[in-house]
Amino acid sequence: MVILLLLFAVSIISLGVTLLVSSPAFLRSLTIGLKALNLGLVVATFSFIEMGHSFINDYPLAIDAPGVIALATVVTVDMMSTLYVLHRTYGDVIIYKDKSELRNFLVYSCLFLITMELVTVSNNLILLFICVGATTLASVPLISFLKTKASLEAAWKYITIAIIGELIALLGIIFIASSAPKGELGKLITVPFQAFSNFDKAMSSTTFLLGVAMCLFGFGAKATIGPFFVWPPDVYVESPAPVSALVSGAEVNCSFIAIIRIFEIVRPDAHVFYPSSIFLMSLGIISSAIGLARMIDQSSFKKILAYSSIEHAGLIAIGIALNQPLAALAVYIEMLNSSFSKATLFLASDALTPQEKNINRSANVSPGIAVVILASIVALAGLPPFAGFAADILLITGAYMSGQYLQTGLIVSIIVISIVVLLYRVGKILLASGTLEAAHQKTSQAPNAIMPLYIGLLSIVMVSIALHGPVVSLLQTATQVIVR
Amino acid sequence: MTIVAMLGLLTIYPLTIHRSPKGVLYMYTFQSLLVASIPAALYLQTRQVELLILCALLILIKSVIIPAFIIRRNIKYAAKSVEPKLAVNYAVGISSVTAVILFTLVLFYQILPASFGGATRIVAVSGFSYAAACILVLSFRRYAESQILLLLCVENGILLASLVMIPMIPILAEVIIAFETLVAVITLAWLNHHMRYVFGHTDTFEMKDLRG
Repeated sequence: MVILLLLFAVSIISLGVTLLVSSPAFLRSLTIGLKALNLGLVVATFSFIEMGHSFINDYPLAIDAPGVIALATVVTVDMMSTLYVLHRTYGDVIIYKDKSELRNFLVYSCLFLITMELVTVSNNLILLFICVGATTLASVPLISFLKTKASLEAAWKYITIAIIGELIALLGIIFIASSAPKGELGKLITVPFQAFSNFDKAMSSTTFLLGVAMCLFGFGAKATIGPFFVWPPDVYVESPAPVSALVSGAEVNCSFIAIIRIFEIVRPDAHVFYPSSIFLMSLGIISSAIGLARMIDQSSFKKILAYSSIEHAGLIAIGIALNQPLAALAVYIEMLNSSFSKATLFLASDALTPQEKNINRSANVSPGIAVVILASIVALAGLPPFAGFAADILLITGAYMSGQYLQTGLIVSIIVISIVVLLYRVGKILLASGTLEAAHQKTSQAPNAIMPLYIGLLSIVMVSIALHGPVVSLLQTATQVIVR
Repeated sequence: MTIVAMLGLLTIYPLTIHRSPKGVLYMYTFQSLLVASIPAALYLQTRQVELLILCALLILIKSVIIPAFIIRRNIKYAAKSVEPKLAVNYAVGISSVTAVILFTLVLFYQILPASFGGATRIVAVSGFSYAAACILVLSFRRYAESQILLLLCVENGILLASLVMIPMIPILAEVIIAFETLVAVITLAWLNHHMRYVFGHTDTFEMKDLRG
């Protein structure tokens, strides 16, 4: 509990510093220091849970293995995007040139970070719902930060869909709460997730199942699964690159944590667990198929990433629904790998697009930016030597071992087509004349802005290395939450 | 409570046919007062003081602060006071809303366990039905202000159902949800203000630049 309080204290101090400190240099140093401290605390929590310490209790705030995995992605991606904003002096919008704009951006991103951290540590249904709702509200000022027509339209589309999704989830929570025995109505929304098994025998299955389906559908709106796939391409393309990185790399994982929590409470009840799995599986297949189909005809780098992100979200949903330890392991690896690789690529996309007219075509391409982009694309596509490859293999093996051969075939097809399309489409953009030269010119004007990209690459590599030992037991603990 | 719920359900028709966001605002305020009266009715049955506090809170936030201080300001600055044309004509609108109400009434009445008493079941079913119909009406409206109000109406329907289905919900949770609704409305109004400033209008049907 103390470590959680420390974590929130650091985030709140960060917000205070952003509001109170007026010197840009001092603000920059303090912000970087506090973000590093935040990351340090998350690493400490990660290590404690890895060593077998339990942070599960009856408090409304608690952290367990799935929570710490999401928290790690949230804090790392937030650090990357903050560093990027502090050092960027190029791109489609120059936030850094205007002191008050920079301050506004940092304030909004601190609020966004606090709400996302709260989602990962929420330990009951109502708090989870409130925190997921808060992430939507905190992200709107960031998405519409440029105040252009397109960004405002994207923000409006996003908030409308997200609120409808959350209202459906609220309806689901009411159904879940009303499925308890007569004398305990309403208690279910405030009991810790682990205590749900005490109620399962006396609960009404039909109401509970309906509630669970509504929660999955509602939270799925923010996790970009199911029929709510319309907002990500617009939001990711029209918002500034650091915001696209935060939303795709951190917020989507928070929504998946909400879905994992719903599975955690469903797990003890077989009558509800299996139909819920089938429902989530259908949502996942719809997302993957649509993401893949739309990715084929895209020519914009950010849009390709957006549709790839929808396709990956679908695969994560399928992994959760498979109810197989290997597939569940793949879910967490995919969450970590795709989160870091998407965030890195969205930050890099700022240097790649839009094309500037006065590009020096003869300039040498910096190996730095080219390596970062290439490695991140390979990691996102799920090719060796990165963790994405392990996730894909585990997912396919998990589906095969659970005897779901049709699903196995579908997963294999989705993965193979996605690798081909992603590499072909992105390769075409990157190898187009002048793209990488322009990126090199822009980043060489602000050399520190490439640092967050290296942090992203380092995170991708660390996830891949850690799979050979250090985090395996933590991931296995996390799988127990979603496997019956 | 049953009469209040039925009256609430009937307010969906003015919401469907009224072309002025101001009219939608009045219906929303009226409906919020109806929803706030449910905890008062429950208080008369159970004598729990928390229900009275909840009633006061709902009246303050949903019937005073949101309509009078936030949405009214937005509507005041809107370029046109009446929506030029709804997405569907009146006949289609009314018949589709009626179909949704009837379908959801039957569906949820069947789904809800019989352990809920007669009045509780009817009020809860009305709330769900109302929320579903409001989602449909939301798709008919063009102006962002009307859409915000309809999102709030959906929330009213869900709140109506939750008040009777889970009366033992902690007051703190209710207060936090009410506060979050307030923050959501402020965020939507802020976005609406910027949309009007940048686009010169808030007609969402005219915003077709982004197609996914």
